[in-house]
Amino acid sequence: MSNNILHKIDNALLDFYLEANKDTIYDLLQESFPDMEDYAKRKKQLLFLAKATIQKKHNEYLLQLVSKFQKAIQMNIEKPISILKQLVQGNPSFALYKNLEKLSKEDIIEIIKDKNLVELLEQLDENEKNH
Amino acid sequence: MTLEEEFYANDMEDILDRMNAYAYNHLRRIGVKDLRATTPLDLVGEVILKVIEGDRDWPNAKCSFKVFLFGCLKSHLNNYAKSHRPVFVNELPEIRDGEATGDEAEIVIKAIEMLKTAGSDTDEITVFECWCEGITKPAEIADFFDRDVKDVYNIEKRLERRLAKLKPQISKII
Repeated sequence: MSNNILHKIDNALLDFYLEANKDTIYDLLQESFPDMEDYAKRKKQLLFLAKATIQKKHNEYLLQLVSKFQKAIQMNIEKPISILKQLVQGNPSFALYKNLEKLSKEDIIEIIKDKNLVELLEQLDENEKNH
Repeated sequence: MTLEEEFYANDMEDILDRMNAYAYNHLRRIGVKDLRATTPLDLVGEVILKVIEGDRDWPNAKCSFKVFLFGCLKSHLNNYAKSHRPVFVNELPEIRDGEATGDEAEIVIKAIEMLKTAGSDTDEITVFECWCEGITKPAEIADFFDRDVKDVYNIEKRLERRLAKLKPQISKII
């Protein structure tokens, strides 16, 4: 059997596990993990850890962004200020803010918390690279 | 969507079940005999955390989150197999797209003979032929030989087990 055929078999089995119905997957799990109670417990722990890690990353991104925006306001750096102004205008609670210097750390968190933080960080990092 | 949004929008319990079933059977199929203290669930957990930590590039992925996670898992399992080489037997060689090592048609015929000898019925053989023709999605296979897709799931399940058992013989014709 050539590697090309092996590759096709690999792809087919990947598609099978992606698309098979839940009953089939459950049967396979029962064969693979004889103690399903232990499996369910460990899966729950993994989901909990994953959610906690997501929250931790979210908080890290928020603090990084706050720091970058505050630094930009202090140093009057055009691009980040322009991004923050747009975000402020798009947020009804802060739309009347004219003076960004008055924004507290908590205000900035409130303004950016529901945005795509990774994308925002990438935009600011890109700007930093160019300056 | 962001990774965070994807994580909460998808049925992660279901995805984890699929990933765990895949990990267990993939390792068995490539000839992993001894995981030592590691379990397939540990490996799935490592993949999930690597994705969340940003070690895998979700923002630039061009596929669904579920397919992305499976791609990461496949790569992680193969890397795991490579780095634990001494404890495995009959490991498959590295697979590269489009690389052929012999006359494929002849090799497929030999593989089918092996499957028949090992007890594969015509359903398993038909599905195996579909795979070798590049028809890999269960729904497409079901269309191809006019069967219910649930039947195809069961046939694929049997066929995977058969291939795992035949691994030593099949390795000889690679």
